[in-house]
Amino acid sequence: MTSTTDTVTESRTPRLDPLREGDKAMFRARLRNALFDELRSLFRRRKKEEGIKQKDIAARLDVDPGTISRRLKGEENVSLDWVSDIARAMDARVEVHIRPLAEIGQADHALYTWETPGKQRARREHEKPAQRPGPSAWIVRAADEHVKHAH
Amino acid sequence: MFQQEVAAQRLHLWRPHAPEPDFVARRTVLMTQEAWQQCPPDAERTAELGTDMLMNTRAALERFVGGGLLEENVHLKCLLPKDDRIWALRVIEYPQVRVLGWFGQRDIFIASHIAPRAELDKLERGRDAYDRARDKAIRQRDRNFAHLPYVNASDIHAQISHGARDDLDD
Repeated sequence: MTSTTDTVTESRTPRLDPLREGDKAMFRARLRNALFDELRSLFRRRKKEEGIKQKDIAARLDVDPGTISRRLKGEENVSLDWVSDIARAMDARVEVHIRPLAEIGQADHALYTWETPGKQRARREHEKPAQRPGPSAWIVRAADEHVKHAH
Repeated sequence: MFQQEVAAQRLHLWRPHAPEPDFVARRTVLMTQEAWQQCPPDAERTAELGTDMLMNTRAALERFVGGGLLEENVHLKCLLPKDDRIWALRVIEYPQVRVLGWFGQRDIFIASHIAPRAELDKLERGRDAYDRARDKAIRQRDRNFAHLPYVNASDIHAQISHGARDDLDD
């Protein structure tokens, strides 16, 4: 026999489905890519602005310069501690920001639409020149209404 | 012309799965039938690629399509001899994978097949597996897609926009 209290508790407990392995692996890969990009970008900036070299970073961390080179090329697995250390060696720190997916929203790939050359030209005329490559006629772009719908 | 290949299902347009809403695709990946089967859009694993490899590959493709900065010899590498114009999109996260192919035109990568790096490092009957993989890509391009153009240059800027040479080493 279930008491009233038990029933209320059960109804408030969210049903959390087990995550699929692929889902977890995809998010991990995205995180690693983003982290790696940030580190390379930071080092590039430091090198350009202050002339810092990999051997300088290596000396600060008391490791072989080859280790820095390999790790910045993604040729070795790195630990969270190492990420913090290399950021510190470049006079930076790692900031963490975790956002609930519900806040971000996720567009389903099925909602992506083809962008025709005509639409592409029209949109480019209204967009400022971007440093990154502009979408080509080949490329798909999330239509605004679809994204809103996905929310 | 590439669109016709996609319409005829000789090439497949790769799309990122469930990207963030502000994702805009700025480059294109087209896949041959073989590459498409190796990296199917809705599978979690394949016979050749386990879950981690497959998702690392997808993340790297997503990065490519999203227009991120790609560095020569880090993210993209022209296989030797460079005159063959065969490129490897390097999936640098472990377990590492290489997506081999060529550029149909600037920012359009045609992936011919996908291989785990560990396999490519092996010697097969005294021959570097990389050489076999490169030759396989050349065969695909010259036999099955000879009617399509390809970027006949080895400079990364001829292949992609927002590219850079690896200049981080001292």
